[in-house]
Amino acid sequence: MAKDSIIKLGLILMVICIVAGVALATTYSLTKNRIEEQLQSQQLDALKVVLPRAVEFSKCNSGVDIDYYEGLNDEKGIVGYAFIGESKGYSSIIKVVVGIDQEGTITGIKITEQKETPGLGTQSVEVPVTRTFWQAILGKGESGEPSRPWFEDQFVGKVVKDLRVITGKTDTGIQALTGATITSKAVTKAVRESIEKFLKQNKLNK
Amino acid sequence: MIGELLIIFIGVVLVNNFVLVKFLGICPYIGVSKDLKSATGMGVAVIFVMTMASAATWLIYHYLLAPSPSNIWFRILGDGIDPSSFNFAYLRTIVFILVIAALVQLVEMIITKTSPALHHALGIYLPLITTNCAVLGVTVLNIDIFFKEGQAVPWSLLKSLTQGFGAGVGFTLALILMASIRERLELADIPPSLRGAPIAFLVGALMSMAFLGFSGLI
Amino acid sequence: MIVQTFTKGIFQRNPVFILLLGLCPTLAISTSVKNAIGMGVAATFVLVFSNLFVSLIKNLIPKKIRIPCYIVVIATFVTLVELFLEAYLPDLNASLGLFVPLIVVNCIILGRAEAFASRNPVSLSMADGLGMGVGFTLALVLLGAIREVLGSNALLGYELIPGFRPAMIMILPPGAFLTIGFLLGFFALIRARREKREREMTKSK
Repeated sequence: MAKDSIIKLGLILMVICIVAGVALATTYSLTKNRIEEQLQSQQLDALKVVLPRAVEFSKCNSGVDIDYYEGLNDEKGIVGYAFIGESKGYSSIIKVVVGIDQEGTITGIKITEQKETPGLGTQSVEVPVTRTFWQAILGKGESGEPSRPWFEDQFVGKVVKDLRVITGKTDTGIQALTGATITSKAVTKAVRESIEKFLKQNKLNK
Repeated sequence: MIGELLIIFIGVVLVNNFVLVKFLGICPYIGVSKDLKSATGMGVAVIFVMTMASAATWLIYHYLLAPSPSNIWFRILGDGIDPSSFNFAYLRTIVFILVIAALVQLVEMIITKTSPALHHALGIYLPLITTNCAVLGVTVLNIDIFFKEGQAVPWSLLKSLTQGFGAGVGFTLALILMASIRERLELADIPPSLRGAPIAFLVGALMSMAFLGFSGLI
Repeated sequence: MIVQTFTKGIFQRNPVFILLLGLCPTLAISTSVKNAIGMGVAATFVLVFSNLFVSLIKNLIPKKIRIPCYIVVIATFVTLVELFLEAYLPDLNASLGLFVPLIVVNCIILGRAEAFASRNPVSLSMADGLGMGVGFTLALVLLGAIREVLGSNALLGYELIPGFRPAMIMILPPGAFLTIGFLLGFFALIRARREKREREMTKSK
């Protein structure tokens, strides 16, 4: 057999691939559970934010138009529902987890996926930092509880008919982000449409 | 259907141009854009490799690696076994890059036989397409969407092909524009410390700014 | 010799500024210092270990298939990094996004495997890998710091100068090109001045 024959080359490559494959498969089985946990905890975190009064969540896949979660309290009573809304933003699809209570009032929203313009559209998920760099390195200033983005916070307590975007300060509508009207409208649309879909599907009369 | 594909195509050529917005394929962008002819040659080769790679990697991922009911392992051994235990998605990086390397070898052999002049013009840049981030980038982007959506309908082969082809076209567009500008730059009076790579990047900055204007197009 | 190999990768042969390798992740990830450090450490890990393994098996790999073999080794370590990030650092994984699997086609890694690790003993190869990785990370951090300070008025996520409205273009794609263009020009200027001074010193001798 010639030293550089195709068979020999192929065999050596195959051996290397097998070693690599074994190493990867081992690592995968070691990290698989952790990765699954991470995905679940991200999902759980979002649910906890949008349904603050719920202690337990149960998934209802029977949704015809839209899947949803029921939020349950200590006595297994339903305190609200959560579901996912989507709409096209300025430069990406925006995914929002929406939580409403039994009357259809919004208890919270959390934007889980977006790739909007950094500095403009991303203001929708930006949390106001409570201390500057200088305070941070000197150890001063409060850190405390991470606050919520103001844009998401303003949805709490509103109902479907309040969901119109208004540029400038407003209490009855949704205040738009400076320089990101399209992003603001997209988030509002995602929230409004998902709520309407859910209410129609579950025939909850407000 | 055509509308959707058109939006994907225009999106990836102008709005999310692989070189000027996504920063994929910078090495050849700076390295090969010194003259128009080699830039065009490189661009065409990349379009070809990207389209074929999109098709090959999509098929392999969808039928061999991904944890879905159409996975071949599941179909053969299936019946009662949970599809998620056939999740080989973590092998995608290694499999995709090997597929791309093989494809580039194939393209090189074809070009050597059919057009030795083109082969001479492209020189060492042809095997370099293997390490072009744009090629691996577009194949990963094609299947990433499927993976994230989970329950939703995955990107079809047609959409992946459109994105692959479009990415190549966008890359070639950026390359040709850069090459045309650099040919003229040779005759301009540039401060010595900016000659070569620095001025190429500054030109890239201006081009990127121009392409920012396409932001809200779709 | 080992120390020399290590420091060469940081200054004289800095992969980003001198060799002009690994530009894609450099431009894309340098929007903030935190991302820069994350990417730098990930790439250094892959670089050190792939250099190590390539150097270990360099005599077993036939010349004809050396590139695919290097690719398999590198891709294995990149996938290890991917799995690690997904499991333990999901936020960083989301920030780095597409560029984690793209570490595999980072020209620095394949370049050093071919140019150095395949012809040098294990200890030197690891030092070279570490040096190049540190050089890459430093370049990323420099770019990241400039873009973060000028573009979002922050460093490591904390606000820098209260009330200052940042130049947003710095964190958008053109900002990356601008920063690296001017940095490369700046380094070229320094090099030219140093060479001029050395020429004048040898002339006057």
